[in-house]
Amino acid sequence: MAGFLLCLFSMIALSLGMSKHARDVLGQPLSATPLLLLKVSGWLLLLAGMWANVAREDWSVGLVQWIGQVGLAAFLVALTLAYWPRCLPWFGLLLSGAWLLG
Amino acid sequence: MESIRPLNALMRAMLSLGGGYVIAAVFASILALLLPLARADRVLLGAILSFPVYLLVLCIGYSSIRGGFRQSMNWLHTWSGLILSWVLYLIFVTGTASYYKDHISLWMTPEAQANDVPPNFLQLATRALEQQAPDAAHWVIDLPHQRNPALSIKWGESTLTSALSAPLIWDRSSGNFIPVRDTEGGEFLFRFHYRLHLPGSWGIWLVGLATLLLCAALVSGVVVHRRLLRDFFTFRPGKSPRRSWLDFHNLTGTLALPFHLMIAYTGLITLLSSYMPWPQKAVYGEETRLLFEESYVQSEPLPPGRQDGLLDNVTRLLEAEGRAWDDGNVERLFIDRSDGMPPLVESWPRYSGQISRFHSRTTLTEAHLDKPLAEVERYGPGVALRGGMVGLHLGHFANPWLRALFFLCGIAASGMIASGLVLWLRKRASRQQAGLGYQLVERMNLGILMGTPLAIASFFLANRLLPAAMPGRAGWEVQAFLWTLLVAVVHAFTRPLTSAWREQITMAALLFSAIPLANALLTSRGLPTSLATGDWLFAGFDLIMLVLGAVFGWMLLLLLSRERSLSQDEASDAMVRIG
Repeated sequence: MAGFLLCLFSMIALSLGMSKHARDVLGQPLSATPLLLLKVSGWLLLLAGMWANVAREDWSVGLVQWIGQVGLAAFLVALTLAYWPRCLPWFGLLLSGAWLLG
Repeated sequence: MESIRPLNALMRAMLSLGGGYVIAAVFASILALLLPLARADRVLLGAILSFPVYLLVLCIGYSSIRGGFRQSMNWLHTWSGLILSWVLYLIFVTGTASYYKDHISLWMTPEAQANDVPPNFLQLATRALEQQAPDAAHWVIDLPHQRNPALSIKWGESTLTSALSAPLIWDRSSGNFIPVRDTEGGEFLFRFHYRLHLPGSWGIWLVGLATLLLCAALVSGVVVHRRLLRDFFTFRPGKSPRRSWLDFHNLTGTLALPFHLMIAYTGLITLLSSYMPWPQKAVYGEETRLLFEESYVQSEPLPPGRQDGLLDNVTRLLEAEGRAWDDGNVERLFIDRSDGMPPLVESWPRYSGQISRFHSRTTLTEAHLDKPLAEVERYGPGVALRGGMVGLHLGHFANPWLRALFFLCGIAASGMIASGLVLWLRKRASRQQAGLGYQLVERMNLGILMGTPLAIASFFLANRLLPAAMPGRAGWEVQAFLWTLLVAVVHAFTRPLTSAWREQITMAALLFSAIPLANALLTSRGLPTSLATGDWLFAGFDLIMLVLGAVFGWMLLLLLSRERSLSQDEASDAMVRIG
């Protein structure tokens, strides 16, 4: 689950790092620096998600699981962007809150 | 854009398909003869590497079929995607269901409450076999493991499936091994997904060709998708239908792309000796069977001093269980009791936490009594690689979460194929509405896209509705599946298109909702009971059927509201014209 959340945050960051999605989510365009920061942190989170999976399982199983989690996370982000773009940041916070409580 | 004459295109297609195969076979055979490795490893590595070579030759062969490279890839994507797409859809839907084939089989044999097997299960099983089949030459014990919590026994004169008795399954409530209704269960869906219930090897070859075309469609799809990364998260449901369908197709295609590529490639590798037997023939000559014997570690039978009495040996294994057999690593035991042979115990181990599924049929020896199985066996690179690829395809190693992810990826693949088919129509809708090809695709889309889920629902319903003691009932369940598929296709070709869609979606919603109902009425493990008693396998299955019923119900509502708005448009058009 920790691995999945890292992948989810990574996908949220990477999508916000694209100017068209950032405009949809935040209501205003972002300038170049925050976009770059979001992109970099997105890729770092992606690696962290891989590490979280590989550290827990056999590396081969961990990699398979990581790729699946990235796909699911990206799908959830794409759906949120399509129907409720404004909610994207809250969506990530909500899931990690639920995980911390549960 | 210069268009190519049909005959020329056909010639090129045949040349690339046939020539590519010959090149790949020669390449694989050369590797199998020359690599500095053990025989089995050379053969397997050669065959595994030959498929990318084949695909490369295929793509090069098509790279200038329509003028420029990108247009050619577009052409390749369109036609390799279309031509066997209905077969692919059937493969993917039944294959996706097969991730849960053991669960499906348990649901289809409701007589046995097969979970919570007590820890002395090996003793239970051998004692029951001594009673039931004291003279049988072979005993088979299916042990409970993560995917399948049931304990069942079979026996026969050989270990071939056809020679074995119907299974007896251990039942928690009676504490006994009991007979269950005759059914193929999830195994039917699994076998259908690579044999299509066609005679001989026709199904396997058709599936292989479809898989190859899928590989070509995936590779050319990545080439023609101009904005793969920029549109990674893009889905615009509100735009024009064609735009939304394209977004959906791209989304299901790219987000699960690793899965699509993996499942297509490993699918070819799983049936490698059917599709690429040449390296095997080049190295082994007529003795091709030896490849599989050499792929397992050959182990010595138990020494003569330890041959006294089968039960003694099994009990010794039981004692060693704590060290070597933990975590449900062993799925099946074969016990050979033929006259004059030392009693051998073979196992199909599954190593928890590793992907590979080639470590099968190890003859247990003394060594296994002291060490975990994994430490006794070492494999060369070719055998290990093939084991890993087959393991990835089957997904037996997956924990429940990962299994669910595999299942979702399978649904994404089915969605990608379905949306690709819809797109093919959308792109041509204005141009050649009356064309025969267009109408064929239109009707086949409905017949197969809806016929497949309908057939699966009929298969499950037949399992509950046919009398438990009916002779040949397993065959009738299969007939229910096949006839439903056929009727759905015929119905799609005979009714007006919109009514046919409406009727088949209605039917799917009804059939899937009827499954939990039939289960509640005809067995003692209906949804209220299974929820109350924590029978999660049954509760989960029934709930998923209800969800599927609801999804089809929602599709029906969408369709009806669209039809209504369309007819309102027509009415207002008419009003405007009158006005």
